[in-house]
Amino acid sequence: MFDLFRGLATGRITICLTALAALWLSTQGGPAGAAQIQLQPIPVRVTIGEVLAFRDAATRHLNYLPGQVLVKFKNGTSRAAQQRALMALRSRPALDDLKWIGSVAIVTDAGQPDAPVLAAQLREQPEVAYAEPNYLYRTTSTPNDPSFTSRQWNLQALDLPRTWDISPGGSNSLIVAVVDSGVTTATSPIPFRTWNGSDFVDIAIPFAVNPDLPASRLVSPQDFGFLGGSTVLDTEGHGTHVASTIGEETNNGIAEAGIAYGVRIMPVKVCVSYWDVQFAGSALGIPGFAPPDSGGCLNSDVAQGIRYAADNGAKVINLSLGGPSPSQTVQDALLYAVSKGAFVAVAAGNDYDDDNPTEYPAAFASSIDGVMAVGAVGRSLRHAYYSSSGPYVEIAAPGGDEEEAGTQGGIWQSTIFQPDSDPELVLFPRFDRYAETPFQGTSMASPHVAGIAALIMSRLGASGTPAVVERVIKATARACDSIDCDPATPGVGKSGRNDLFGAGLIQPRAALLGFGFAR
Amino acid sequence: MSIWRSLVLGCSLLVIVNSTAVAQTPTSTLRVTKDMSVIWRLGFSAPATVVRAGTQLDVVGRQGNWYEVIVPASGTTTPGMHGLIAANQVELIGGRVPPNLAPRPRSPSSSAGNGRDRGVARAVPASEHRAHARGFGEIGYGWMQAHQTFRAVFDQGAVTWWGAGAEYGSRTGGFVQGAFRRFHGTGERVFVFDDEVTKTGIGDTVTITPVDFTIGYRSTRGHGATYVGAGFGRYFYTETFDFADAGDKVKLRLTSYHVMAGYERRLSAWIATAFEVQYTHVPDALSGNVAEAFKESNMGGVEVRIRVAVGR
Repeated sequence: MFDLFRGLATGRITICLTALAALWLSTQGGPAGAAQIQLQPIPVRVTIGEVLAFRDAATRHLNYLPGQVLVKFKNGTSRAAQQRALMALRSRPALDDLKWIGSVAIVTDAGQPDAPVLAAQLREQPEVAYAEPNYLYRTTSTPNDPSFTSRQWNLQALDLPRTWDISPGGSNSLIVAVVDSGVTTATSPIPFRTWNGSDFVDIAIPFAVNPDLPASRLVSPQDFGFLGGSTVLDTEGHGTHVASTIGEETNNGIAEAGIAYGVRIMPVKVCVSYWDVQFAGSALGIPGFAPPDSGGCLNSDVAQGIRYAADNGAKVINLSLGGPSPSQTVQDALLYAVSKGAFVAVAAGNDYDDDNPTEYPAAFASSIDGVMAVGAVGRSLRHAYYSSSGPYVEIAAPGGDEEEAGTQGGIWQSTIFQPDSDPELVLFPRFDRYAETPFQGTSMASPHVAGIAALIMSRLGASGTPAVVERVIKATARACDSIDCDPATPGVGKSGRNDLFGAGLIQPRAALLGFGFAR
Repeated sequence: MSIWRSLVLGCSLLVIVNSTAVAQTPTSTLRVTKDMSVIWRLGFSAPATVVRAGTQLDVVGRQGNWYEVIVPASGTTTPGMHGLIAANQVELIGGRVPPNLAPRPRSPSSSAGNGRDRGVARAVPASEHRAHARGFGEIGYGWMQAHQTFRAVFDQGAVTWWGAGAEYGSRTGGFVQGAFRRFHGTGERVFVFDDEVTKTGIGDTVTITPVDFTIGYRSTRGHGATYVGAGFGRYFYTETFDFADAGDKVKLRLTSYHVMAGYERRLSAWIATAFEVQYTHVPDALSGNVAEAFKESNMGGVEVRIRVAVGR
């Protein structure tokens, strides 16, 4: 299974004490423990085959969903010809039974779980423009030890207080979509079926809206995961953390600050967590526990989420997810979003010290004006040890670096209290408690850029097109020679763009101020 | 300020200056040294009067070897009437030697061939230099060399300058001049990508104060003079904007180089006007997104201006 949480082992050690406290709470008649009553579990929209495929992918460490591919037929191909192409597959799926994302079809063939082989079979058909496995992208962050000390060094480093003098939190009419693991919109417990170690049990899982990102700030939520519909549940905390960086309430005396605290957030759930897989499996009668690393962001859901956000008024989209596999379907969705006037920030990836593979969809960014791949710096404003590099990295922002400064070097934002839902510690999770939590990763760097893009768009109005926003950010970035980006690699990053930082460290105040006559 | 407002103001200044010239008053006093000296009517058409030695006369101006004076009242003259008396028949007893004036237009009757009339005309040299010192004020309209950058921020490619200075001229025609000018304007901060200007809505205020020194040569002919010069200077540049902190303000000291040429018209002994053209070169002054987008770095440009000088 693709590593979901980088450095999880070190994180586990540090969260151990607080996790034990949470476990004690759950065994003392806490909400989860008390909820084992007769309930009708919420239905899921996925099939047993899909849930099993997720579990299979986790078990076999696959970066795609077994037996599923995304297919785009060539323009002008008739329905009959499309059906003929599908007949090349062993299962011979009917065209009318396929799910569609724009012009891309999701094809499932239970008889051929090897998705790359399936895709290759379809690519041989003359009617097919492209066919690719339905890859699983991963969220790109690492949760660290919770702390209640306010340590938003990242916002200080970017001079946000003075930036807010110019654009106080951005415009309320501007929508930023967080295409991620979701931001919870439910305000009451929701019944789920799960496994207690020996049998299925139906329990009411507590959910609550983040008090520092109230429901009034959330707009047009949509779940493209297992439940579907307009109720979004973050059962992991990643999406909530990202959303908090973008727009957590500010100047309210609660928790931390967000960059664009005046904009509205569109929660678009495209990533499923361990708990989503576990609940769905139990609801469908699959006994036992899902593998710990179950979950991910299916490319078909990512593409749908991007298109949904663009179609529903989002002018900024954050994608804190990625993987080593390119997806034409996701690239098409990015192009579609930009064509609809949405700027997209994408995490560059967290695999710098793991052979530094090219990461997608970040690698698409350099070829699309209005989509930016974001690398990460730590508290010292030097390259974060994990931040992937390559010619596609276009900008750098704080993402935290625990190797450099421990949890003090993480990005602190309000999100779900992590020990409440750690699958290695609890049987029955709860998602109604929030805490300031340090995460690190390019997942954390990307929402900095998304939030600042929202401030820029709020300031520029209609002239703030995605391409202009990207150019503004690049033109005002702090070049690496002034932040000693890469002291370990002499000669790198001393001027102009480089593969670690792109144009340099983002400078929100300069990006809002623009330029005068002489300077 | 628009160019039209500037021109109207400049023209108004010229009218005022001309009016002042018309209402000129005597500046020196002469005493007649030879008895029965003749004061001629202007144009030497006829004697105006005859004066005794010791008579004091108010001087209006000088035309070569003749002084233009106010003719003493008599039965044949009118009050305030001007006439001409030979310079060798008088001595200066008060004030300075008046400036040399071109001959006044002669009456049709005198143009028939009066020998003394022709003599006066010959007495005025084709080019005559005098040492002088004077101050001046000026208003100008300049086209910035970085006109695209300037237009992006200020919505116009040219600026109105105000200025003042002082000049000293030698008898050889050479002169030195020191002057300062000033531009102050508020535009809007912008981004420029592919020549497309994106406004930020944030005000940007610029003050440019060039101080320059010029060495030149002047060729005088009658009441007019043409001149050319060249020199160097310093541009004192400040720029600030809405939301700026103290550290944000831009303060620059830039070296400038210039060449200039002009034509001056003397309106009276003390006052002259001039039309001047100057090209200024201020290299490596501009940087940042806007100037780089337009590949402009020179803050100089071409300026035309109207000058009013006071002094002798």
